Amino acid sequence: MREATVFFNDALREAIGILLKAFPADKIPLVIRDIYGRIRIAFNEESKVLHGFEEKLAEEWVKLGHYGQYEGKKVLSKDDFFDPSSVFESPDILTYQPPESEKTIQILDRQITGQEWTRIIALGMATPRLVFHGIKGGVGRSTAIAMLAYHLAKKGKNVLLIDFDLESPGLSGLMLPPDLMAEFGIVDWFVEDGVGQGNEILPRMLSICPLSQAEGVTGRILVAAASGMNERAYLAKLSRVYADIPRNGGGIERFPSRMARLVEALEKQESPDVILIDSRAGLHDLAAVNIVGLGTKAFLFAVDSTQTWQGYRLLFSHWQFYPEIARKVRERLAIVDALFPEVNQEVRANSFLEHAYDLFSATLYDEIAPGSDRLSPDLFNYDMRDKEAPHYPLRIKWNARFQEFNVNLISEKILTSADIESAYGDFLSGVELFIEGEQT
Amino acid sequence: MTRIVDFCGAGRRHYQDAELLMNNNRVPNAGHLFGFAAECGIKALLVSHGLSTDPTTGDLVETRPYKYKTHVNVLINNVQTFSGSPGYSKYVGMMPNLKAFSNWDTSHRYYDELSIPTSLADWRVAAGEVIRMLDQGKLDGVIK
Repeated sequence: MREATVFFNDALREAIGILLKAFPADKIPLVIRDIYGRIRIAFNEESKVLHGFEEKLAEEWVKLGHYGQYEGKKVLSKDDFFDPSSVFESPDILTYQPPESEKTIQILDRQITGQEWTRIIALGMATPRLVFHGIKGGVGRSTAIAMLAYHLAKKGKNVLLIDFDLESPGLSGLMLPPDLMAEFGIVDWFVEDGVGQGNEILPRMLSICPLSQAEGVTGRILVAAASGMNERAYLAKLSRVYADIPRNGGGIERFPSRMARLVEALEKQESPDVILIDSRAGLHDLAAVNIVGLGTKAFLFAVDSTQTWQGYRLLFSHWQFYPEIARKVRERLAIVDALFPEVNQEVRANSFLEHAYDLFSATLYDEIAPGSDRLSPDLFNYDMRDKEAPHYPLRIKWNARFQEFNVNLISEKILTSADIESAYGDFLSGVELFIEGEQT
Repeated sequence: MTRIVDFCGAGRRHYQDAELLMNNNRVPNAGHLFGFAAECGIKALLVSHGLSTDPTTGDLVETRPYKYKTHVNVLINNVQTFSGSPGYSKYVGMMPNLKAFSNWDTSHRYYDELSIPTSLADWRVAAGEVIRMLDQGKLDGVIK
C-alpha cells in the first residue's frame, strides 16, 4: 500500500512522536531541521556510543516521507562536526512545544530568513526603546510616531527617531523638509561600517526636526533617517545593508548585532530620553530584530480587518511553539487600534477588542486550568476588559485632517493641540504611561 | 580501487592532520596542510552550490583555464565572484580571512624551510573558518 504523502505541516510532529516513543524523556536528542525542512537528530556523544542507532531509527524515519530522506546519516554525533560546540551550544537551540502537547523537545531550526523572530538580544541600555510595527502598512504608523515625538518634546523630552523601515522609508519625509536632511542616512552607516568607518559618519547622520522649534516645545526631536540628503545610490546601499561583516578579532558580526550597535552608538552620542523606532511592516527579519531584539516595548498597529488579525496570528502562533521566547516577547507587546472610526464607535470598539483578545488568548496567554475560574497571579492571562492587558488597544481616532500630515501643519497652526488630543489623546497618554513605568 | 572524491571529509582530515603536525612543531608541513584543508572545504561549498562534478568520481569538471580546479592561493580569488545564490554569500561571509592564503603556494613543498612564509597562525585561522563553515552547511542540509 502506498504511504500517504507527508507535508511540512506534519513532519516535525511525526518526528517528535517517533522520538518520544524511542527514547526516555531525558535522553531525547537534539532535533535538527534543515533549510529544506528535512529532519535529523544529533547526540552530543561520540559516534561509537551511538552504535546501531542509525538502523534503529531508519525504519521509523520512513514515516517522515521526503522530510526524513538523507543520503547521509540521520543520526549525527559529536564526531560529525569539526566544532561540536557550535551545534550543541548554539544560541539558536530552542525549546519547542508541539500544539496540544505537554512534552517539549530541543530544536535547532535552520532557516534562510526569519530566525530573528526567536532571537532575543541582550542590550545594556537604559533608554526606553519603543518600536512601532504594523503587520500591514498604510495604517498611519509614521504619523502616529510624529505625533508622539512632538507630544514628548513638548513635555521637555529629548526624542530620537530611527527609521528602520529601510525598504519603505517615510519617516524623514514626514518629519524633515528636504533641505534639513542630514548628510548621511542609516543605509550609509551600514555600508561605511562594513569597511570599518561607521564612526566617522555617526555625527553626520542626524537631523533636527523643525518641530523642535515649534511653540511650547522644550525638548528636541532628532531624526536618523533611512537616507541622507540628495541620496542617489539608495538601492545600491540597501542591497548591502544585510551583510554579515568580519568582526574585529575573528568571526563575523551578524546584521542584527550591527543594528543593535548602531542604536547603542546613537544613544551614547545623543543621550536621548526616549528612542522611537519605525519598524518595517509585515513579517520581514528587519521587523523581527526591532520587535524581538531591540525594543523594550512594541506597539503593534492594527485595523479591525480579517487580514490584520490573520497576519498577527501567523506571527503569534510561531512564538507559541517556543514557550521561552513567547514568555519574554508577550510582555512587551501592546496593540494599537490605528484607525478607530468616526461612526458606530461602540460596536466597532467592541469588535476590535474581541478580536484582539481572541488573538492573544489563542496564542500567547497562558491557559487557565479547566474548572478554575480564578486567575492565578503567576499566569499571564487577562480578562477581556482589563485595560492593563496587552490586547487592550490604545486608540487612534481616524481624522481626515491628519491624512496628509506634515510638520508644517503644526508650525503653521493648521493642526491644533485640540485636533491632536482628539485623534491621538488615548494613544499618547498610553505610551507615556509606559515610558514612565519603564523609567521608575 | 574506485577513486571517490569527498571534498568535505578530505578538508577535515587535512585540517586535523595539520593540527597534529603543528602541535608537534612540524611547522612547514602543518602550514601546507592548512592550505589543502581550506582548498577542499571551499570546493565542498562550491560543489554544493552548483559547480559541476563528475557523477562517478565526484571530482570537479572544468575546462582550462581553471578557475576552481586550483590551489587555495588562486581559488580564494574566485570564491567571491562565483555566482551562487544569496545563500552562498552567507557561507562566504563565514570565511572573512581567506586572503591569508595569498602567500601560500603548493611549491612550498620543494622549498628550503627558511624560505617558506611564516604565516602559519594566519593560515590556521583561515582554514579553521573554512572547516567551521562546513559544519554550518551540514546543519543546513546544504553540504553533505
